[in-house]
This record gives sequence, structure tokens and C-alpha cells, in this order.
Amino acid sequence: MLCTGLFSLGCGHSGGTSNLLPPTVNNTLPITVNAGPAGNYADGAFTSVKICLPNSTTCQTINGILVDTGSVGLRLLASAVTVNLADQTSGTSTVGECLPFSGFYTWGPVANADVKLAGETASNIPIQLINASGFAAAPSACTSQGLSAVNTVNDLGANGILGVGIYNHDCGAGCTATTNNPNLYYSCTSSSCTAMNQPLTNQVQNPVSLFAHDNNGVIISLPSISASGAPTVNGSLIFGIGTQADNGLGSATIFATDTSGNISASYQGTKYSNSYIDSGSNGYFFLDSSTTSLPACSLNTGFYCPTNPTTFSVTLTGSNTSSGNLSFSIGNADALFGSSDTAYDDLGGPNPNSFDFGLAFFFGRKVYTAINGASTPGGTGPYWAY
Amino acid sequence: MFPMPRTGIKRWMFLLAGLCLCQVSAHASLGGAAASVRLDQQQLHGRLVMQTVQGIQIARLTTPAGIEIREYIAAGKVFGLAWRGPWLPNLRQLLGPYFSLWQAQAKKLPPRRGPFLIETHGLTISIAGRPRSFTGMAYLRSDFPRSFQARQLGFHSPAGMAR
Repeated sequence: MLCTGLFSLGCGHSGGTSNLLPPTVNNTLPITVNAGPAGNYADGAFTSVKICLPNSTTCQTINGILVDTGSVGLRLLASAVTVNLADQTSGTSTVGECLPFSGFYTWGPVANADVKLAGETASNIPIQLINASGFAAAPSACTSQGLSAVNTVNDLGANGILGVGIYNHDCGAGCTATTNNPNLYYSCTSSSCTAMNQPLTNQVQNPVSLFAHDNNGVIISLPSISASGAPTVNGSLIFGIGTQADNGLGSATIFATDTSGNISASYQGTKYSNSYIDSGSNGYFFLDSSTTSLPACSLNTGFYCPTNPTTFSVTLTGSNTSSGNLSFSIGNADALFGSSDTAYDDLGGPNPNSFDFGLAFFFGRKVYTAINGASTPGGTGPYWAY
Repeated sequence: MFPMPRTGIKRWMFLLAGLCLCQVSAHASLGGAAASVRLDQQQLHGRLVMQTVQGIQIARLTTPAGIEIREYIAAGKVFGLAWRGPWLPNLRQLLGPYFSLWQAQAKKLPPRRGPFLIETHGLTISIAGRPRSFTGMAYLRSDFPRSFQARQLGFHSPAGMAR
């Protein structure tokens, strides 16, 4: 008997198939690597999300959402949202959030919505609305980090960020109490904001961990591309690890992350312990020009521009002691960006503190991201595997 | 009115910029006096431990939110910073007069996502990571002690002195 789609609920019981198997829901969201909704992106994977007023059929689908395994939670440009979501409140105030990324921050109110991705639903979950009109300005603790605000589709290069990383909550225990609070959440009037404690259930959360099924992690699957790049690449964001026929671990190597959510990358005898895999970064970011002998680009600041493609070999080590060698190549970003391509498997730039394996790393692979505390056939998350 | 010669304007602006740097650096860390790490400790509500490694003073500051900051001091001056933690420290405080120089340069960069490395006005700053895990460093290369190298600032091994 075929058990598919909406008709699968209870199928395991009525159809006589194994009771151990969960119902089969559509767990695959198409993703596309292209220039994004602002037409200014290189190596970004975009998808569509459907949001609804909680427990209603008042819904909206928003495209051009960046798929980010480096962060947690759904953040949408308020200007892209047409359904009238209610802001989260604290007493008579509205809850706002400042979330830092590498180079920018998102600021705006928290609101609740049903989030629907493929056949999966996260019901009534907190999300962030970026740059909501009429909302108080970002407080000084937010702007004193020195990052740039992203307020428009041009700033962000996307209509929002779908954070499907290794955590359940975007902040975690630190934001729940005064003692160690990093002050991400604020209680806001129309004109000013005060830092507040935010219980875990009210924090912006990973929609995947709140699905009824396929909630232990995600897989990003992208095909190989040529070294010269590709104009557009289609792939999949698959929910669940080892929960359905289409999301098994296969022969992937598991790299457990440490207590900071990182793994180690060793290069020529030096161990960079704050390294990570992140679909929300464009390319391979590692070392600097003096260490790699890769010259900086003259046109595209922040990327490497070798005359000829250059290959690097590193050893990755997880906190579970598994290790694996990884080779990758870095091309000339000025030349790559000079074409009409938007997808590159050899884009790189400097980062002296760690190795960041961005979207360039994901081509030709299935990359698994397992959520903290979630049970999978490869052990309990958090981990990355490929 | 006489047009002011271009070189004259430049020299005048340069002097003014220098004046501003000197004035502010008395209160701020990077480029400031060794004692300015005490002010950082107050502003960031941190725990401070001083140590000396290979003749370089290192102020080890830990904030309540768990951000580890290292300030490197030689010849009585803070010449470098490194940090690591779940979030970013108050860089307006730590960078002092260099904060606005970095901001001005950052606005000129093409949009990109991921770690960045910016060099401007003698300042080098890099930030990497994502929510719940960041690393970064900022330094004034011209103030490095003899034979000191930038990679000694980081938390990685074996070269990093910050571990």
C-alpha cells in the first residue's frame, strides 16, 4: 500500500505497515542557488516559506528566503509580510530582538506564526520581523557591537533567513535569567527598549525541532557543479535524519560539535578549534593572504583572487574524535563574479580565526545538521555529517 | 574668498584627526594606555586577570555572558585584542577611536555573507562565526613588538597566546 502525503496520517496503523515508521509526510523543500530576490547574491541557497496566522487558513508564501544552517529561527523582512501577525508582548510592552551575525544584525519585534515547510508544520512559533515600521529603534547595546543593520532586501540580499542550525533556541539558557544575559531580547515601548529575560518557549526557535515529524535535523543536498560555476543550481532541504526512506545517513562521517557548536580544522600543523559548517556563508573563509599565498581581490574586497585555482587540504575533527580529510580548491573571485554565474564551488576569502565551510562546500554533497539533544541513527545531536 | 589649497585642507584635516585620536584614546582600549583595560573591565562588568607571556602583558577579561576577551599590551600600550564567545563584546568600548574608522570602512564593502577582514587606517579587524559562537580580533600592526606576528593573537594552537 502506498502511504503518501496528506493521506498518510494513521497509515501505519490502518495499512498494516510497521508501527515503528512514522507517517510519511513530504519532508523535502526545493532550494535554488541563484542571485536571490535582490539579484546581488553569490553562493546563497534560497527557498520559499509559508506562514499563517496561528491556527488559521490566513496564509502567505514568501520566496527568496536564505537557507541558513548557521543560525536558528525564521526571520522575515517586515516589508515582505502581508499577513497581520500579532507581536509578542511582555505586559504592555512589545518584545523586540537584536540578533548579531557575522557583519550584520537583525532588529525588530518577535511575532508568532504557523510556519509551513513542505508537508511539515511548526505551529504558533516565535519568529522575528526585521525592520518593522513604527517599532522602536535598536538600543545602544545592539548598535555598540559595530555591525551593520539589515533593513531592506538589498541589505540582506534575501526576504528573510530560515535558520535551521544545530540549536533549538536562538539564544538558549543565557537569555532566560539576569545573571549572564547577553541582552538580545528587549521590552519595547513605541520609543525605547529595555533588556529583558526571555523564557525558552518565547525565544525565536528552530522550526524543524518543533515539527511533529522529521524534527531531529536537516539535510542540504546540492549537485556538483563545474569549477567555472553555474548560473543556477537546484537542490533540496530535507527534514529529518533517518526518519524516512529519503533521509538516511548512508556512509556519512559524523562530526560532533563541541560545547560552542564548533569543530576543529587542522592546516599545516595548526589547529583552528572554532571552525564550522554554515550554508549561510558564501564560500570557504579561512586563514589570510600571508598564510595561504592567495592574493586579495582587486575588485571584490574580502575574497581571494589567485591567478590559478589553488588546492588546500585540511583535517576536520569532531568532539566525538572522528576525523576526515577534506580537499577544496579556491578560484579567482574577480573572474568568477565576472560571469553571469551565481553558484561557485571554489569561492573563498580570508578569516584568520577559523575555517568557515560555507555554501561552496555544499556542492556535490549531502550535508547533515543534527539538532542539539535530538536522537538520530548516528547518535544524539548536535553534529554535522557529510 | 580665497580657495584654500587642497594640500592645506588635507594637512589641516589630518592634524584634526590626529587630535581626535589622542583625545579619545585616553579613555579607550585599542591604542590606549595599559590602564584603560580597567575601564573596559568596569564597562563590560568583566572579571579581569593579568598575565605576562613572552614579555607581553595580556589582560584576560571574561564578561558575564561568557565572552572571553584578551587585550595585548606592550610598551604601555594596548596593541591588539582577541575575543571568543557566544556573542560579540561591546566593540564601541574596546575599539575606542578605531570603532568609527571601522564603521566607515565597513559601509563601503560590497554585500557578502560570512567572516570578514578589514584593514583601514592601521587597524586590522576580523570577525567570524554565527549566533551562539563568534571569534574575532583587532590590532594595530605598527604597534606590534619586535618579531610579534598577528597569528599569535588568536585562540588557535599552537601559535596563539590567548588560550
